[in-house]
Amino acid sequence: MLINHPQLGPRDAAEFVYLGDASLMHRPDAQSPTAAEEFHDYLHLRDNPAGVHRELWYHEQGDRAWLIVTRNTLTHEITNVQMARDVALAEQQGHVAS
Amino acid sequence: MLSQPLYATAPLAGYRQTINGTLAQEIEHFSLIAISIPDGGHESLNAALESHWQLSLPETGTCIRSSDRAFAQNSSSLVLFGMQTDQCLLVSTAASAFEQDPFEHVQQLLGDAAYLTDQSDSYAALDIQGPTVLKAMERICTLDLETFTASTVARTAMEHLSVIVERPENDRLRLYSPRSSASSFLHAVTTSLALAY
Amino acid sequence: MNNESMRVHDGLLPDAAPISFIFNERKYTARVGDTLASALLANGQKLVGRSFKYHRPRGIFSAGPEEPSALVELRTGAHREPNTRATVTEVFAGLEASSQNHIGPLGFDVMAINDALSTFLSAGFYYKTFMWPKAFWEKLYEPIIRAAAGLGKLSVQEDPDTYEKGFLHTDLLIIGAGPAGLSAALAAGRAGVKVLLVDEDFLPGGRLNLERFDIDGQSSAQWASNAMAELTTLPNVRVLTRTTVYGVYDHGIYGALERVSDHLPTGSHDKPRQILWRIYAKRSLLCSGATERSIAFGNNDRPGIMLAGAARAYLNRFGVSPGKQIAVFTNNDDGWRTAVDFQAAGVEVTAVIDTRSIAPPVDINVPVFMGNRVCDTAGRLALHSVTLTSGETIYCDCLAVSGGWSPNVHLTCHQRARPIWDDTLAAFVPGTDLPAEMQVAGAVNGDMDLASALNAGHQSALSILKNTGNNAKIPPAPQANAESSRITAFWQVPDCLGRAWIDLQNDVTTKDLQLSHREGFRSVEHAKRYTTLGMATDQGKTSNVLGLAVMADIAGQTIPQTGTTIFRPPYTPIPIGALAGRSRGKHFRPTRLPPSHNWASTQGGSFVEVGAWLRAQWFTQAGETHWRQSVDREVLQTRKSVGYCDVTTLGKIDVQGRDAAQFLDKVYANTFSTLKVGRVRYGLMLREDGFVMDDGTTARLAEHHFLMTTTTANAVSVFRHMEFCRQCLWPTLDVHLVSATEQWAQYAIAGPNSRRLLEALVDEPFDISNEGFPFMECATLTVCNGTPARLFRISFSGELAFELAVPARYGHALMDALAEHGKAFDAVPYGLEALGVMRIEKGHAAGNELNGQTTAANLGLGRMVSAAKDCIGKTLSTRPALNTNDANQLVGFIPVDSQQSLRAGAHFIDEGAPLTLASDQGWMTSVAYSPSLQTSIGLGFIRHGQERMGDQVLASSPLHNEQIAVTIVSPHFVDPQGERLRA
Repeated sequence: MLINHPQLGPRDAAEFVYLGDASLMHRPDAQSPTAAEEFHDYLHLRDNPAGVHRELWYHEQGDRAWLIVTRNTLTHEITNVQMARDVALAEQQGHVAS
Repeated sequence: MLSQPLYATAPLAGYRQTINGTLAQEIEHFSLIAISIPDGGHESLNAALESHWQLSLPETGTCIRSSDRAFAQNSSSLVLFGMQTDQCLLVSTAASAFEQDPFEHVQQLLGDAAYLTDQSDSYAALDIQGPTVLKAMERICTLDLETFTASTVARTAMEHLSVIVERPENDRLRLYSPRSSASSFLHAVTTSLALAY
Repeated sequence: MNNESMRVHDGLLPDAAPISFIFNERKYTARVGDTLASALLANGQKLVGRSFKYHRPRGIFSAGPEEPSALVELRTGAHREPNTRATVTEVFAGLEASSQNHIGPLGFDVMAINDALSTFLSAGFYYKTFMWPKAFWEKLYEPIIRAAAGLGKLSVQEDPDTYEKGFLHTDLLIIGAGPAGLSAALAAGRAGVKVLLVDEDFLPGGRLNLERFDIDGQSSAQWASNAMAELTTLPNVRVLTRTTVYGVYDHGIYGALERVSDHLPTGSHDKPRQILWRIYAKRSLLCSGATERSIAFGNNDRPGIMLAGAARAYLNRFGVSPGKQIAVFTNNDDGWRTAVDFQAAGVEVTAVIDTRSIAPPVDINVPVFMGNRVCDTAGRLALHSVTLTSGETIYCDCLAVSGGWSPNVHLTCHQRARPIWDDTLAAFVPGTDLPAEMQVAGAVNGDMDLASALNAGHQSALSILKNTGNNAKIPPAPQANAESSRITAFWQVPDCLGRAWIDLQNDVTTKDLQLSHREGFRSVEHAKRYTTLGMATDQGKTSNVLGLAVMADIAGQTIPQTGTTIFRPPYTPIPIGALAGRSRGKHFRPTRLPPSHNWASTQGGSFVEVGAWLRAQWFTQAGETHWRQSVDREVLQTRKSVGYCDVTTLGKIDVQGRDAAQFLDKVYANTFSTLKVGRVRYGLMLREDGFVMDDGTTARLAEHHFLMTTTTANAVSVFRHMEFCRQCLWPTLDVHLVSATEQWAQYAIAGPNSRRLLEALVDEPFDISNEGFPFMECATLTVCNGTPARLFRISFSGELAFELAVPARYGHALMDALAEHGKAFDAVPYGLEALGVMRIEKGHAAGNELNGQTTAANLGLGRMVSAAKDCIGKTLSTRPALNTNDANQLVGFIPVDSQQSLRAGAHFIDEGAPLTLASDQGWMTSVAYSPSLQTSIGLGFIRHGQERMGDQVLASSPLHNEQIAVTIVSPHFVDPQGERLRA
């Protein structure tokens, strides 16, 4: 596989380490009254779709960036690659603003 | 109590060998400093780099070579490698271009404009120059080095080793790989040179 | 006959001078440019092997990579390679080859008795017959069957050849240098496109070298040669010959095997044997051509029966006639060209038998049998005649058979595309759901005649130029005549008395398919596994479509209804050596050496692999004959005076930024924001599920600058985890990570005299007295007259101890200095083993305890999880199941009988309790012989451990049939109050 890094262009998947569902970026609030259940769900309950999946890859043998790769698990077609930090920043700042 | 000063050991023991017409030699004297860019400090760091070395922060995957005459006079170079969004490497192949310990010197000049980590002892550096350079690298490097210019830099994996590659001239590459695995790194490169045809 | 008597002209061979080679210990001559198959045929050697199951005599069936029969062993000794195809093996002077799968001489194989027993050896025979007694299968039946069946033999020696891997990038990968491939490569190459042209033959041109066609007024072979000559002058075109593209992978990645020196005598060159290329292609054009197939009729497997196109190939390319009397059996017009070519070469053609009841498509002066069939053949070791359904006997020593051509769609299917049946061609053509970057052109796409193939290649290149905005003006497509390739599908001759083979390699006949159907194995995938149709080295290249057609007949279905099996990589066999490349022996993975490695190897160091690191385990001194002597001495001398040890391998992470302290509070269970500059703190890191991830010490070098250490094993994964936390969880924090593991040579200096030894090294005016530099302090200073250094007052051994770090370039020299200045104190270097003994004596947890199943509470560190802040793992560490009253607790163990040795992995049970899981109380994690206590000691987890000090339990290892009575003690065997390390 090739992953089209947003800053570096296509790189062989061998340079990357896979983590899993991009929902791992949404760590629950430990102050929440239902924190224990939220953390349980966060850690253990993930979708395993046959189809389009947003997932986290780490460019360990490259620029050490975490990426969100949108990949079809049936065809391996990759339709989007984003810098995870940019996405996290946008989400968190958006959250603060609202 | 007085002690003998500690002597330095080069990671590749000063390796120098011509293989199939291509010269591979260790770069024994270089300094390599990781510069982390403080959040929001991009502009002030850029200004400092510009004023001290006529350099600016490179995009990830590119490098910027200083046109500062102090380095040209020493037939050495000062380059800034863009390694990741918030980090670059300041690489000089001649420590003599600096008046004192390069890390201290850079630290004094940049002050709070950047977070610095000395990496000069973290890498073994190999300069390979000659007609078989690209053919040899085909055996271990997944990147298309033909497309590299003097302003390209990349970190990648070769034979499971992390390697930073730059191509200062068409038939020349400089490779930087972690010091502890220097002997495996040298074996990987020299085997490729020996088996290139 | 070994005088090339069957060589009727020079074909395309470049040189008339003979070279010699050996087959079955007999010397033959050949020419440069021959394959082993053409050379054997030139010498009249038709019998080249025995079949897989029935040991039937077999000859050469094809002239290419599809060969099912002519499998031989090449070379000798450790270089021997079984199951290679004679049809693609390039002959060189001195080549040694031998036939395989026979006992006794090839002409009289004692295993041929299997053929007489064939009634009993049908599909599934082994499974049905050798059922009972069950135990006999593994020990008796299987070894005998395996010895009798099978193909060549391995050398059973280490492969002495050199294999390489490589990586290539191209804008256009063209697979196959036949008519379509060459035409496309010329068009794209002339337009300046970066092209990689790959062909598996050593003479590119494909069919152009096998036929007597004209292109642009010259012979097709000459045109191919000229095209190659032009392509090699274009700087933007790279050509790989002797290279097979064997697999298509995701996103335009192709696997290819280049046979660099298989055609050169061993020892005559310094090249690798083969290179396994990974090709990254922006676009690809598949021009893989087509493969001819046979027809099923009685005894259609004798030496001398071959594909009609192959017979033509031997004649036109190699100048070799596979027989003196040629007969042709065909269902299409293409087969007729064999008769025409042989007649033109002056070889006798005894008959053309065509299954179609039409007018002969060619006017030819030989006996012609339209609407007729071959139903049987004769000749024990070689064909001498065939019998037609109409009753005639035709004498021939070569029967050229054509059942039509199947496009080589394999590579189009590797990404799960399904081929489509084309009734006009009676063949599968590529489906529509090809990989995004792939186009197909030429015979593989059903462009069966030369004119169409040349044009298709050219047009494909033009469309690629257009799509990439390349407006270069290029010459028009090469011109040739369109020959006829009409076909009327015909698969099997009904009512033959003899067995009719479909798969020559696996001895699968039409009867096996009938049996498979009767027994319910009707899906193509089931039938393949039941009968072995299409398996092994040729993967059914000549048999798959014929097999499907016969299965469709039996089931009364169409071929599309019957379906196809799935083509997977590799297209042709890949040696394991090529897949391994250089990753053999000690080069299997990189070796990491700590800075003191060279020094240690001059000091009697024995080394052990710790992950990729090679670490000194102990240092043997004169007179020491057992490792325990060395280790005991190192421990005792360190505890008595001073020892030093390379601890560079611990991970070091530079953490800097305005929010560095806040960040560490989030990734560590305990608090670091309260740590003062110049101080060090032990840190415990949890996973989000609440279990312990890693531990280490972290120093605060400046307000916004920390230096973290990790365990050696987790250095990489902790760094990755922290980058995840930084980028994905808390991106607004100003914090930056740099690995500093390689930068510093770091040595532990431990023992009551460690300060005095250090005083000899540390420059003025740095004060390392207990008052000036207390426990858990750190400093930046200089040693040995100005070498920059960092000093940490931390202890893993439990002694007064320091860790001194200098830039790695000075690591070797610092070891020298420690040894030199240590003489005054009888200081010793100590290795990993003594380090382990001392940490167990001190009760410090390490990898054996931090195994991913332990919590802070288990380790007795529950109070370190700060209540005042959130951190990774905090919430889930409070789960009730992790906080039960009977949780495992880390304690120490000593044997009741001090002569006994404890064993790590032993489980604890109460005395008298049954040896069952229900009795399990916990387990021993680490053991050592403590020279300080002069007894074996252990650390381990046991329920209620802290409350059971002094209790006796059994450490049980059923695996070793061993039960040792142990006493539960504090894990701190040495200096439990910690007085020494604060001294």
